[in-house]
Amino acid sequence: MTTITPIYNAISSIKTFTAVINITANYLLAIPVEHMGDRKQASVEPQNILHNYFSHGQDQHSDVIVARDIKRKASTEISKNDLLKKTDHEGQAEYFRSATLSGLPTDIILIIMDYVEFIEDIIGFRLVNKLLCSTVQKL
Amino acid sequence: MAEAKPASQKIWLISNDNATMEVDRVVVERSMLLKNMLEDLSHTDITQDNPIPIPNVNEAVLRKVVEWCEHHRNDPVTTPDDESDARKKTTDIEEWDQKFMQVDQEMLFEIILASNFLDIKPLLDVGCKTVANMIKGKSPEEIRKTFNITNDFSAEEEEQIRRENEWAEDR
Repeated sequence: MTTITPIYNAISSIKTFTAVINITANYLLAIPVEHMGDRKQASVEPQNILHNYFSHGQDQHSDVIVARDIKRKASTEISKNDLLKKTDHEGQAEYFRSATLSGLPTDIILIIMDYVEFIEDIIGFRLVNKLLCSTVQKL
Repeated sequence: MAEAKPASQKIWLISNDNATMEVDRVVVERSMLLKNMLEDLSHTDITQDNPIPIPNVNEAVLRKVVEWCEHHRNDPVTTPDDESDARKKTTDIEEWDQKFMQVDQEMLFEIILASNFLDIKPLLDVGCKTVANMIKGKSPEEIRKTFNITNDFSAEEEEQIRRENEWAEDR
């Protein structure tokens, strides 16, 4: 019994940690909300991963299943560090281009144009450069 | 049964440059992305040793975003209808927000990108209004100068766009 307890504790903490990472990854890698004309809030589908993990039995028998699942998932899913690396270098392609006006995603430029209001200003904006011109044409 | 959330519960966030910050849950919940996420997590899942990673947002920007959320922690949550009304109305920005947005352009656009990512619509609107106010009344050349944008139109292309828009100038 004394040898089982540390193993059980270790499995429990891995289970909790992996569940948090999974739920974090699912949310933070989700496509951010698109703010289009009517500005409806994009829905973020509730994730069941956490429940799936926590609904595995509380006894040691079911922990064997959990440990097997964790092992399989570990080989296919990204780790917390991978999540950070991945989103730093790749995931930002569309939503985190560069912190300049031209580098903003189309949706955000369109919101800005909504606030600009006057047609003269919007037309002037079209003449700034090709990228902004093609973006404003989507209005 | 839904788990009760303590009013003073603390949440730990970690920026992409590994700065950890402790924030009240009510403040963090100004972000719809994080609010939805926290609702799915047990409050014991997020600890100082296991903070929520905020990829793509560095410490300086995250601190600014948290500062805005702190100031607006008691603001009512807006509905989609409220938002569309507010957008139609005006580009007026309240005084505190105006001062808050007095930052260099890089930070301004970083805040806009972060608020979009974290789904903090009121902050996104303040950022977009600020940029809109910088554009209003300016000629294309002045806009290029303000935002350091290179003109990549040929003279012919520019002329063609002007011709396309003559109808508006005649109004």
